[in-house]
Amino acid sequence: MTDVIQAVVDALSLASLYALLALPVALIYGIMGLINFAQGELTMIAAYGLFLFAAVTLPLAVFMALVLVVVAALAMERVAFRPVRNSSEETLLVTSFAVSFLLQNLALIIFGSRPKSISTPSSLSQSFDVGGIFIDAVAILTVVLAVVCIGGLVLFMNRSRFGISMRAAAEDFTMARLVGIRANAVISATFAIAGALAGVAAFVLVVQSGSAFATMGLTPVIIAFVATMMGGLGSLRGALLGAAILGVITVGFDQILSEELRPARDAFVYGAVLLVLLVRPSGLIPSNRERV
Amino acid sequence: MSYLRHRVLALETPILLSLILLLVTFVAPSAGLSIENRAIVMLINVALVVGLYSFAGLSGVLTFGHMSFMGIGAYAGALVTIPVVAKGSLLPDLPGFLANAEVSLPIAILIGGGLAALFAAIISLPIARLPGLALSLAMFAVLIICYQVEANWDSLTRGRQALLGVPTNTTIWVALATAIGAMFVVFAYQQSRFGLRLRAAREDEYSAAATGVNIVRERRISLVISGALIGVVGVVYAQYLGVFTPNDFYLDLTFMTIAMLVIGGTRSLTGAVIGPMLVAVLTYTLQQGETVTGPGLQQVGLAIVMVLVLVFRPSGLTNGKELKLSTVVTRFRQGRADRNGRSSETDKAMTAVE
Repeated sequence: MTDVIQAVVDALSLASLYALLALPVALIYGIMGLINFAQGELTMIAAYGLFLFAAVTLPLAVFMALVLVVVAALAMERVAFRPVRNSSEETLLVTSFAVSFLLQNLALIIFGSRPKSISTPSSLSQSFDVGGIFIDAVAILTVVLAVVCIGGLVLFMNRSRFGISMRAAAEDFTMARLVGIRANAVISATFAIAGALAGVAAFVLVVQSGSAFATMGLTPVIIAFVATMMGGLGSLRGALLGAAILGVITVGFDQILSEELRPARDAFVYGAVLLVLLVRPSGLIPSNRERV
Repeated sequence: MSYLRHRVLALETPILLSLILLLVTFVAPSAGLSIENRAIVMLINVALVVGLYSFAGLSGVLTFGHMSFMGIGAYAGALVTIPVVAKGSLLPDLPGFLANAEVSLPIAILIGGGLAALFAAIISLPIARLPGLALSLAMFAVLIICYQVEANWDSLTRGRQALLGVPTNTTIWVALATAIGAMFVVFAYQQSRFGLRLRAAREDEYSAAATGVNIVRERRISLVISGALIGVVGVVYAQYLGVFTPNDFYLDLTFMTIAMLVIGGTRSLTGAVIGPMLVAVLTYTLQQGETVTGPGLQQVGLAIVMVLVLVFRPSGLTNGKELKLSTVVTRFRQGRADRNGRSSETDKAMTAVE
């Protein structure tokens, strides 16, 4: 029984992290049809931000990392994605792929290929024993952060004037512009939110692994892609559902795979996702969105 | 006579491109061993990008997973060509039929290409049904799956350790033959009814479907053809390297090949051939600068060039046009730009002029 509860706890924390990773990808795709490969590099930038300021105090480091990553996200949109905004989704995807590769190698030149270790408070790395079930402080932190971020995003999208503009833009970009919604502002805001979410995810990842390195954005962005694809491209609820399912099947495969096969767990997870796509090519919650 | 001339003209583009590659093959060895090796890699890249083009270019769906076929070809080709004695100590747990296999390069090419084609056929069952963008990402998932399997199946691939002892059969002439072979196969496919249907679907999915094109089927065919070609290139590349790891067929190669195709132009065979040549020159130049900045400049420079191309010339340098002498000649004779790129049209124009 404790095994099952332990697995549920693990799955919950993993799904929360995956949701934090998948949301910004789904959000940007919803607004401008861009699947952003470079989202992973935003996570990397935030992690290096934490590294640069970790020596001072942690709250300051977190704040500075968030500022840095939001600025980076805005700059990325302005420099690379605005010029190709009206191109096909394919072109957008390839552009983001190039941007991602560019940032990764810039980081390699600046910081070198060795991971930079970042010390985080020991209170974050302890784990609690609740009746035979081990709960890491990080796991609790992840779930809390995910709930706060998702809750905040939902409130913002439904209640604030700007959030409603964003939803309108996601629904029909041209029409939204015709009724006076400023396209540039909406897209910039989306990137700022995506940057902030990348910062939050980076904090969790850094607490988990204790380091920052140039290629650290890769695994998160792949998870985000797979989750949004399985949930249905262009649907925020789909992305959350995809992240949840991905978390559950990852923990599930951890339980059932034998010792030798466990290193290749991700292969099984993505294989399972491909099987889902065999049945539902447009994802679990398909969106009938027509991009302009 | 005119019949023969017509046949030659129909194959004009791959013939001209072959002549360019032949020239490189003749000249490069005289410039020293390091340049010759670069030329071999460039020729292999041409074959590789042409293989990628046969799916990504013709269907209009850029994929991030085609290098998985390369890995399959490389490992399959290596496992049947490494000398039996060496295999005994390198891979003691190999199943019997592989442990005792030692075949020549042509047979290895058939095996590697065949296996990659089979794999492509299997994954095409779910993959070809996906809408464009999801297809790109699903292929990315396929790449990760293949990488994970290669990096962890220790008894077959030595896992993350290098697989060594692969006979180095790939000379510059083998690389040239691979590149030329790939070009002719893909050009024939591109001009065939299958290629035409796929290209029609690329231009307008709905109209193509309305005229009876089964897009899923055409994409499936294209996946298998590109899978087979890239598998063959994988065999040849492994026989050039002699030593390789799963990382050689992963993200860096994926990025490099996509950059080459995008820079050359995704919409013509000429682009798929010119792209790798330009990138070879570009990376050579940037590598000289890496002595100052340390590793990474090559990739950064290439990524910047790629973004610039995407912003200012989204269809790549060739802009969807094929290399044709006849176009150049007609343009010269008529004294104005011939905007028509179709070969049959140009042929008619030629006859009319005469």
